[in-house]
Amino acid sequence: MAGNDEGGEGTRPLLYARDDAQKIHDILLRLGGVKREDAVLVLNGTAEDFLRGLSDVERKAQAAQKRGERTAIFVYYSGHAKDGALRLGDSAIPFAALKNRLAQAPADVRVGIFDACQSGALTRRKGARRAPEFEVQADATESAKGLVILTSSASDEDSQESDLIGGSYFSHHLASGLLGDADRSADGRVSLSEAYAYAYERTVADTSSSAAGAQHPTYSYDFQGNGDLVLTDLVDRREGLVFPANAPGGVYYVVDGRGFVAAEVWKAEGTERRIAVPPGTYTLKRRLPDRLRVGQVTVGGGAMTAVEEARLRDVPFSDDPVKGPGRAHRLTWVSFGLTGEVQSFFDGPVRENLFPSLGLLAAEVNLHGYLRRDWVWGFDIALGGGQSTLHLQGVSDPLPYSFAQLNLGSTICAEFPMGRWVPQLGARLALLGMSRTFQDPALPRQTFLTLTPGIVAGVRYRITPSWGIGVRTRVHYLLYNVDENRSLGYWELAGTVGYEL
Amino acid sequence: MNRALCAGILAAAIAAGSGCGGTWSNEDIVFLYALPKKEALRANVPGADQTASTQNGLQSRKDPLAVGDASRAYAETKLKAQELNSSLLTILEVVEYVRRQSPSQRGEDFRQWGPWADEKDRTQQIRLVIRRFLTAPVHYEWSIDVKRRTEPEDAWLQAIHGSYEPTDDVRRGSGTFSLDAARVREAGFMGATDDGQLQYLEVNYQTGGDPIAVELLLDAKRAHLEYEYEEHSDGSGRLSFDLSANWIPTGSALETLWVTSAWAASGAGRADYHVYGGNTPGGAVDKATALAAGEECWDESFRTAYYHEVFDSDGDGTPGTVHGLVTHCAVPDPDLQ
Repeated sequence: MAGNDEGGEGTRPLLYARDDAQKIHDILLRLGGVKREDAVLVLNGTAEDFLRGLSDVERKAQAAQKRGERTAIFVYYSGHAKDGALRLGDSAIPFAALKNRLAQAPADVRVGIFDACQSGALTRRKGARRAPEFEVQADATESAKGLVILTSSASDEDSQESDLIGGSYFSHHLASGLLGDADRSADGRVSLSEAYAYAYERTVADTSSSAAGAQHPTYSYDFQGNGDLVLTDLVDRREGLVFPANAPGGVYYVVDGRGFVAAEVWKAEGTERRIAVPPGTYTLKRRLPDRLRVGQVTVGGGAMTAVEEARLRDVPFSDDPVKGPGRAHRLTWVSFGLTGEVQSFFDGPVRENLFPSLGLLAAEVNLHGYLRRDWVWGFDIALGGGQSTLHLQGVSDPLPYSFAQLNLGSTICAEFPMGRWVPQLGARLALLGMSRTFQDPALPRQTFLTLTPGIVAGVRYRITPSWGIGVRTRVHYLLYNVDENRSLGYWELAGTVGYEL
Repeated sequence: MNRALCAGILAAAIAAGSGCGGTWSNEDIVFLYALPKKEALRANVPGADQTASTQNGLQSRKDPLAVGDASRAYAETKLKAQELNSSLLTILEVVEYVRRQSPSQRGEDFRQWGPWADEKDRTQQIRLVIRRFLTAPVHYEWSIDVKRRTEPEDAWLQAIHGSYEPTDDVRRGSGTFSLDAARVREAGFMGATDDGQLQYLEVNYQTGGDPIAVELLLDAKRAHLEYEYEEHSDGSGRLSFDLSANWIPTGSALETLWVTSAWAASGAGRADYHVYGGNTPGGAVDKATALAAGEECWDESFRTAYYHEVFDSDGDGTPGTVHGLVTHCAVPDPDLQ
């Protein structure tokens, strides 16, 4: 599974390609029977990374074949494609080479799903169809063998993303389908053809009225035997939401903590639907002509949670829990944070006699996506202080003093969103101002002002779309130049509470 | 990309615009402790200062002294202590100013404060320099230098020179500093308020043991003055005042007023004085043959407990005036200590 927001020269960055790949990866691990060690996830990687990951999978498949096991290789890509090649940043993989590689891959079944602009070029040749569904001739006496390629759009179409759903239309519906909504046969399993048919239908419907025009997924297959592959199995893992037969029909949106639509459920009157979303708290939304029906539901681990209509309430359209439309026009946004920090120098004698450890309270404001997507430019101010004693050589008693510190910092971090978890890594430059006042009035107040560069690593957790908490550590360099020139280092550990506007 | 460039430019601007560095120095503290501290050299006579000012009024009393009266000797002792403190404070004014500042130059065994303009004469500059000598015995040399603003760097004149030898704790030790007023005056740096009398001043002190001791020697054109002060850790102490001046102008020889006060930890004490030498009538050449002598003891509430005064202008051994019993003196004759 690979996702890359960047497509190099001549393309505009995508917003959700990485998220799409992560989503499909997670679903296949959770519901598709794929072992974690058999999966490779390449996010914002190069063509070389992608091909290296594919080689890794091929080697494992080859080893499994030698053991006499049935094998399948599943390749998913979300990102840019242009001029007959997948574009992973500044690198590219020609369609022809990739298709040839898949055709020769050492596995009984090879499935390639490409969610990229003009990706239909991959299926344009022999066997390519731009059709709502395909049926593989079933021959129960023979196991499936061959190659299936699905693309998100035709060779002359763009693949579109939606801020409403926080992903591309195709991958979003593919994911919803894999979670169970595509299970037309109601056998608790979602097959490749069911998933494709579902994604095709929903993608065309959603994009038909878009400015870019309707987007038509395509497929091609070269298959033998019983080719209807099961991609996800909802029977083994009974976990998620169940919409009882007596629940009203319509489209239910399952909205995650970030305000994005995690899954859609198209429920007909009198039928039961199941959707295997992972454990967590979701907001359910059903749209009526004049209002919304909204309610919260919590999915526990290993349990099916029934949706009760009585627990939904009427809300006006203005209270739509889906934040996507708002975020769509705000690729840059602001967050505020309050932080409690501990600061300490690495060197023991320095801690004891020069710069004692201290606690700080900080406030910060962060610009998200201003420099580039998933980059955060933050500004912080921190104030702290305490009491300490100075043990001077040649002075028999420790000298008590109080000290204070004011920090003004600016940080540039790259974030790596993984659902609610957002790891971050970056660099910081701070202006550090310190002063100390000795209890002995005969000694002067001393000050120190310096710029300190440092690195930052941390992780945020989004509790709600607006509120989050996090932990962060910084390591800074400080040049002390009063008594002598000395290179020092200190660390900071911080806990933060943040609010996104 | 332009936004990233903006971020870089902002960071560079912050870096360029901030004056990095400061005064956060442990070594500065060690150097500062090598300078004499007015609080450490201060003469502390028991009793609140308010008591002294009240007692000072007794100097003008002409009534005969009686046992139980507020002690004049104590009041004089308090006054002399304040004079000593005031003299030291004047000399240490620059040192106290430096304590509130940060050095302008630092070296491994060197600190300099200033130069800054002399507030009394803006054409002059002052600086204070301390040098540390780590070869045994470890000691510090310091000086307060003056020069005119327009003069070159090699024109600095040492106005006050001091040295200090610390004990194991740098805050305690022995030191000395002196002002060669005649030389400074000759160089034109004594200022407009100088009356031209002071020739030389020297202060010796030791704070490393018990008692703490301070000695002030002052040579003027027509007088010589010495203060000696000792303070024990239990609060007892001693203050000597020795003034030689030509009070009797029948000749050029200097007469001497010698006063020694001593007090116990309780506050009770005594003062002894002698006037002798010079052209004193009767040829009093020393304390034993003093023209005038007296001793007064005070109790813990600073009231006279014993008083004995002799004025022997003809040297015939006049017994003098006595009030109270000498056994009521809490402190023995300081000459015997």
